[in-house]
Amino acid sequence: MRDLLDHSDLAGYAGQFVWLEISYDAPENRAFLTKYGAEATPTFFVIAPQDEQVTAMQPGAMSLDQLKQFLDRGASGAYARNQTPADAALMRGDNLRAQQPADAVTAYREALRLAPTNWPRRQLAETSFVEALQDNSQWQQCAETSASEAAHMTRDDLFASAVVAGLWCLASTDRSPWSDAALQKLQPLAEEALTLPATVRDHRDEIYRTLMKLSVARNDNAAAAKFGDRWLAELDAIKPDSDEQRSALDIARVENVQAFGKPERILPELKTSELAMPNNYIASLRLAQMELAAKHFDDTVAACDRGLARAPGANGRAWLLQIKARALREEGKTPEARRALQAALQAAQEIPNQGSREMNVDSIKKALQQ
Amino acid sequence: MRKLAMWMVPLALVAAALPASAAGLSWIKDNYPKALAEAKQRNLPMFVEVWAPW
Repeated sequence: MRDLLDHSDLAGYAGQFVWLEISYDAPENRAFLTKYGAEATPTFFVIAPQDEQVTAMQPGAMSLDQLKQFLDRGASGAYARNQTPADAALMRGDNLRAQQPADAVTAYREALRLAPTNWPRRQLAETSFVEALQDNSQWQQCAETSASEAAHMTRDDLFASAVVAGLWCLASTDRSPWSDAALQKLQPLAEEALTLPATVRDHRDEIYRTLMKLSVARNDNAAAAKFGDRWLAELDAIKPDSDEQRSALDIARVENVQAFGKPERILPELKTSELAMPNNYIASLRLAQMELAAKHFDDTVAACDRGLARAPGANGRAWLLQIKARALREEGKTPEARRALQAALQAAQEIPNQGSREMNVDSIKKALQQ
Repeated sequence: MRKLAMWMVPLALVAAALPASAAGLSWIKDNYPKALAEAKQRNLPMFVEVWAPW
């Protein structure tokens, strides 16, 4: 996604916005993250300067076309230009989505109700509606709406986004008759999305990941392995031309193994990446995760120590130290494991994002009580 | 979309400091007050990318 923001096609937008990047890891961003929220990464906002209202919001990756439409829509909202009542409701949904997803659901539904015939943003509103249902944990309505809406959508990047959201909702809930019925409708749409050039890498990864998870939940390990093999073959065919791309591929490999498969299978690629990115602590963290999953406990501790020497932020320190503690405990080194957890707790308390901070602190405190 | 709740999974595209953009975008890094002041002064909307190094 970051490569996309460097695309020369965006040159025409350079003077139309003030461009701000906000890192989850930077303590100075705590006020922004508290005010606007952001429960996915990446998340994009367009914010009007006069009243600091969000005029467009998008969690997750976008294609170049989606990004340009997002910028146009955000600018239009900021200047309140050429807005129909449906446009205004769509903007209201975007404004509410990060922190009040239930109200965002209502706003997007209203946008669709008010939509004039041939409204150019109908497909966007349909996808946003499904994603807001996902944000609001309305799993059944999200999956069923995704299946019914995506079926008649134009086959573009928004179609893929709607399918991804529906699959996510299905994968977030236990198996049931309604979820089996929704999967029967969504799986062919997901397979179709995988054939489309418009489906971006992040969405392809998410489709494979959720299809694997749903297969495992239905005790169909053969299907999970089939999707996993296809996914890994796609990833292995890509030759990374930047650290960013190398990292994105490794993230997908880890997700693949976490869904179903043997961690040993991807250790060679992760070791290559750690050497190729000597200042990147995440490369060590990913390797440590998979060494731990493979029960290579000494190698896990060593990878964590290498990551900690690469100047991670609070999040990174907290994660690396928790993984190290788990490996040490597996080795029966209880006092050392406890010391690592105490250091992890100290790091977790410095995490800027409130949700992430609380989740980590709770998890570490529980581990310390064991 | 990758949810933050999947906390142990390295979630996003890793990035170092942003290089000079081929698109000519001039980025302000981790400074919302500065970006807001500039946006008000120039009467321009802000584009914000929230990212994570993990």
